[in-house]
Amino acid sequence: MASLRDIRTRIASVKSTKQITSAMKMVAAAKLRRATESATNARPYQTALTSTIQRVAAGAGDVSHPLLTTRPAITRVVVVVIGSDRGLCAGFNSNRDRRVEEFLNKLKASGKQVTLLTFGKKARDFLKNRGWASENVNSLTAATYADAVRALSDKLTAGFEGGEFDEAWLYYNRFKSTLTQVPTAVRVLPLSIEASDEASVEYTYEPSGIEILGTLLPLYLRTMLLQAFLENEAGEHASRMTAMDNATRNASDLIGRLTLEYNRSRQAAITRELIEIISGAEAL
Amino acid sequence: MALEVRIVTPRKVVWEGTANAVQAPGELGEFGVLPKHIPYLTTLRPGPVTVDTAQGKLVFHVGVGFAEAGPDRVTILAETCEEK
Repeated sequence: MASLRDIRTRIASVKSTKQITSAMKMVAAAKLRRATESATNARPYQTALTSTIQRVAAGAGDVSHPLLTTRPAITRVVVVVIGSDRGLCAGFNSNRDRRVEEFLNKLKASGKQVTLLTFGKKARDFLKNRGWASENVNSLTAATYADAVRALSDKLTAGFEGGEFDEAWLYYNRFKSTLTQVPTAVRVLPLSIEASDEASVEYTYEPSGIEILGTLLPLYLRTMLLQAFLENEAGEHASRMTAMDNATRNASDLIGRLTLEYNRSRQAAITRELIEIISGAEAL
Repeated sequence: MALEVRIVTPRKVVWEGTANAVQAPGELGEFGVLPKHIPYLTTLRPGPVTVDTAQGKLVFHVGVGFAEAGPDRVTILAETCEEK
C-alpha cells in the first residue's frame, strides 16, 4: 500500500496538473470567442461574393475560364493541409492527418505526382514521420492570415495557370460547432461554381462579364482559403477547450479518489497506533 | 427614394446605411450611382469611394474589389477598406 506521504505527493501533483488544464481551457475559450467572431465577420463578404459570382456565371452563359477548366489528364496534384502549431487539442490534428495520408497514398498508388504544402507544425511533423516531405513549412498566426492567404492563392493560381499542376486539394477542419469539427477535403482548383438558377436581372458589366469573372475568381479562391483558415483556427481552440475541460474533470475525480484513500489510510494508521499504545499499557 | 449602401470587407461590414448617391472608382473610370440606376456590375480600382448621406459625405478608401449597383442598392466588396 502506498504510504501517506506518497499519496500526498500524488495529490499535489494532480492538483497542479488540474490548474494547468483549467487555465488552458480558459485561454482556449477566450481565443475561441475571438476566432468565431472573426469567422462570423467574414461571412457577409463570402455570401455576397459567392452570390455575385453565381449570378455572373449564370448571366455569362457558357463560362469558360482557365481557373474553371478541368484538365483531361491529371498527373500532378497539390495538396494543401491546414493544421495547428500546437497539440493538446484531442483528435483535432490526427483525425485530419489520417485522412490526408489516406488520400496521399491513393494518389501515389495511381501514379500521380504529389506536392504537399502544410500550414502548422503538427501537420508537417505527422506527415514527415510518414515519409511525406512538405515543400514549405508555414507557421500560423492569426495576424498574418490575410498575407498567408494572398501568398497561397497567388502561388496556387500561378502554378495552375502555368501548368505546374492540374489539381489542388485543401484539407482542413470545418468548424461545425464547438463540439464538432469535421475534417474536410475540398478541391480548390479548378474552381467549381454553380450558376444560380434564379431568374437573374440583366446586368450591365463593365468591363465584360468574362473579364469581371477573371477578377472575381481569384477573389473567390482567396475567400475560400481565408474561410478555411478562420474555421480551422476556431476549431483548434474549440477542440482544445473541450479536451482541457475533460482533463480538468478527470483531475478532479482523481483528486477525490486520492483524498478518500489518503483519509482512509490516515485513519488506519491512527487506529493502529492507538491499539499499540493500549496493548502496551495493558502489558504493564 | 434612397440607396441602401453596404461596404463589406473580409474582416467586417465597414459601413451600412442609406445614402443619396455613391461615387466609386470603376475599372474603366469613376462612376456615380443615383437611385434608379440600372443593374450594374464593375470591378474597382483602388481609390476613394464617396458616399453622400443625409448627414454629409463619407469617404472610404478601397482596395481591389467590385461594386454591384441596382435601382435601390449599392454593394461594394473590397479586400481592404479604410474610412477616411
